[in-house]
Amino acid sequence: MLMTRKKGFTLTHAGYIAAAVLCVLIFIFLPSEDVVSRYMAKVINEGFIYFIAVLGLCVMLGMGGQVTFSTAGMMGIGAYGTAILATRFGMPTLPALLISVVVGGIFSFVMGLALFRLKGSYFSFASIGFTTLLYTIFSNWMEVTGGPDGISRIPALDLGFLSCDNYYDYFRVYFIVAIICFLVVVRMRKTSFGRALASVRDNEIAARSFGINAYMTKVFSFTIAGVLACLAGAMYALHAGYISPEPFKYDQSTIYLIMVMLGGVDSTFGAFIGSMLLTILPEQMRFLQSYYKLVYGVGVIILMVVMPMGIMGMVHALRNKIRMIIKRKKTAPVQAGTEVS
Amino acid sequence: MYLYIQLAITGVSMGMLYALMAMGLILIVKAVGVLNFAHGQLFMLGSYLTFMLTHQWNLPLWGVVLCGIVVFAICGAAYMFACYWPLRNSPWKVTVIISTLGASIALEELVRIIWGSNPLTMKPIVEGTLYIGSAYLSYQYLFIILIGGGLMAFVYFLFEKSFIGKLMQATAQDRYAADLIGIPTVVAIVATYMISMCLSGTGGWLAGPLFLVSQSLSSFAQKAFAGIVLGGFGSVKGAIVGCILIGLIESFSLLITDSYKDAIVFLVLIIVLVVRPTGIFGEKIAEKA
Amino acid sequence: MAECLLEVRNVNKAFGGVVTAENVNMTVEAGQIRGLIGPNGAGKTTLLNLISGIYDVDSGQIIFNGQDVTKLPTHKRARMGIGRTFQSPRFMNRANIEDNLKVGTDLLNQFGYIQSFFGKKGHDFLADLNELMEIAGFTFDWEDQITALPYGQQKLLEIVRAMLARPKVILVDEPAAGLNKQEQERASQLLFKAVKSGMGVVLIEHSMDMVMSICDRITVLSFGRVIAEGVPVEIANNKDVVEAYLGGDDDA
Repeated sequence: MLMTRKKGFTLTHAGYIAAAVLCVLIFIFLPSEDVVSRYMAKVINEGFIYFIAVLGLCVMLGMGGQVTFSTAGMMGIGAYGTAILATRFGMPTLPALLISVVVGGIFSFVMGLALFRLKGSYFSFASIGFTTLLYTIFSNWMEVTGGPDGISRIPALDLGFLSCDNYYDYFRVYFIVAIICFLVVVRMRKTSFGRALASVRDNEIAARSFGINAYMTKVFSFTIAGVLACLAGAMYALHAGYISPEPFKYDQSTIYLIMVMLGGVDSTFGAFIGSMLLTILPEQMRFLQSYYKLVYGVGVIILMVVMPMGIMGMVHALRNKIRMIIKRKKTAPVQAGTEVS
Repeated sequence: MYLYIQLAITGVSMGMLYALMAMGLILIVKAVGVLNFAHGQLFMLGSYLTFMLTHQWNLPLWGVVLCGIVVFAICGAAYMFACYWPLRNSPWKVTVIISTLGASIALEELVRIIWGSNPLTMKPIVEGTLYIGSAYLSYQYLFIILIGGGLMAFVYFLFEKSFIGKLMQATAQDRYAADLIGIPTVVAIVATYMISMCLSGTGGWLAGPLFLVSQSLSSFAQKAFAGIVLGGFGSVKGAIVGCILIGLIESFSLLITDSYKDAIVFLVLIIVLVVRPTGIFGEKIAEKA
Repeated sequence: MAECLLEVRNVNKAFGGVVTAENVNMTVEAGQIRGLIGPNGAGKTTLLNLISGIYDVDSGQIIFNGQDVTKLPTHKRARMGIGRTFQSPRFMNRANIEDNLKVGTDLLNQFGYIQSFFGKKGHDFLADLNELMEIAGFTFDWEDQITALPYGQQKLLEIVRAMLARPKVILVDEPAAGLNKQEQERASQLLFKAVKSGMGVVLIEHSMDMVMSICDRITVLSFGRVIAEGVPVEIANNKDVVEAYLGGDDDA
């Protein structure tokens, strides 16, 4: 009758070790010309960049239930901040990146305070306005952002001990950054912050009556999403070496939302699957040509009908079903400590 | 002085265009409780469809109006059955939002495939220009205000006075209860989408001659969203006033800057929200606890 | 007389023209179960929402633990020790049972988010939980979705969750509705346990058996007004109360 927790080595731990080994193997063997082409490496790097931005949505939408279109705008802040500091002020790339992420974080905190005075769909509307506002500034403030021409000749990322000369170097760095961000978000799910967000999502009034400051919790989630998007934007600028306002438009934000929904909104790993799929797939679907986007749009609708919780949502549902079957066979309740990540 | 009159009239007529879209959006929100993020694309589709009727089929004005209504109604119904109906029982509203995002991508691409990506010129519905002192104004702007105002009155009477309006209101308030007392909710929802599409499509028809028929017309929806938020939560009246205000702000910001007018619109919006989060007409509604 | 934990003083609340609380006065002492009864629409749940701060009062005061909390937001009141449950259980439907219960212990621990991120150890809630689950009379699997539990167990678990936060006062909204006889008994036992550990309880309940058997004092509401107050025996024999329940005049 006593509720206890299973201690010691479980299947889940074995899974973690396997995943860690796989990551190390990928880190060692993937970045070489024999395995992936330069072009493919570039695409995969972009996948990592989008993944980091989408992780922010994972926090906002998956954990907090807030639909936001601010991702592209915040990425723009990170990208333009880094690019301006690195080109016009001649700052080394790493401090430029860090400063723009910190400034972006403060900015998104302040914007969060303003935007979350609105609720639900009206917050989403306002976040569209927010992104459009930033886009207008990016594409018109000629002296600083270069207007529609953007900023070119952004120096490559230099970490001091490693200067990224090619896409394979970038792969190594971005892979590690992505893993760190991933682990932070996975950890966040299991903290009081993750639970607070989840309860705000599922029932705001119940959340408040459990001592959760719903407003500030949402603002924090917006800040975290903003920091991740800024980081992704800065990485984008350094990786591409050139930025223009186009990738920071409202339309791009919808793609990030679709990425997180495709992977599975309740799963951090799903964000990875979704962003990688939607980055690599367009390259593989060239044969569709002008019909690609049509297929894509219709595909999104079908996805929502068939599996609203995305790919990982289906995996989890399947796993839960198997667990229930196993449980029915045993008389004692199972107390395995499997983690949803 | 004349310049101000000109700006005011263009501002109001732009606001009318946004308001046509905003009304449709709010009707949908009220009927099914979710936002339609493809509304700008419906607006754009309306513009292309009327271009097809006037320039490709060469119909006279009355033919355009009649055929337009039929075509819009069909599009609205088709849109509803594609993007909302399969998801009506989804426990999670976000799925419907995302499916409208998918629809927005698909619609934009569909239009590109059919009509190409070059902007098309459409001849004004009412030709000619009005001169007021040193200012001049094409009649199209005045026509927009006229048609816009007429449609608003029509929607008001439809919803407040007619039987189908009562059905729609009942459905909007409680779909389950409406179902129980035998209201065909599917009819009410289809009707809502049809009317909503007609409003947006008419907006597209009116905007086409002024802004060229192109895919970028869909970005008008962002101003409509802004107008809805500015006006207050979920009230049609608030949305209309909010949209007209947005149109005026946009139009008068030309006095200061040309390229930043979008920035000014959204800046004003965000400032208003910080000062008064419920919008201009919104009242603090007690949450259902 | 035990210390007065919660006091509602001359509270008024109207929604539009509908008055849902009119000069309501009520007290709850530590270790006391205060019953709150009345016909449907009498303003019972509204009163709970006013106490926990989900609605703001139009006028009047709410004193908790000697402090005026009338102006404080809901989450601050919860952190001070006002716990509650809801008419229909409100859980995070997409989360598992573990996370749902931990929301209660988060309230007890009151860590900042950053402390929690770096894994600060809180109260060991397993001991509390085991004790409460013994009374509730069922077990669960940590990993199960909350929606996998039967309705009755969800309702019991909601009381357990509220009690894990060790509040000073717990507001319980219709714990027995939809429960079978055995589960109702378990719910009563849980409330007794709360009282024994020194909490004050406000109980809204339609099951007269339950109210009459476990409440120390009862307040009867009708159309937002207190029409009677007293120990269960007095209430059972009060003419106004009987009339209100059987549908007398509005001014009953």
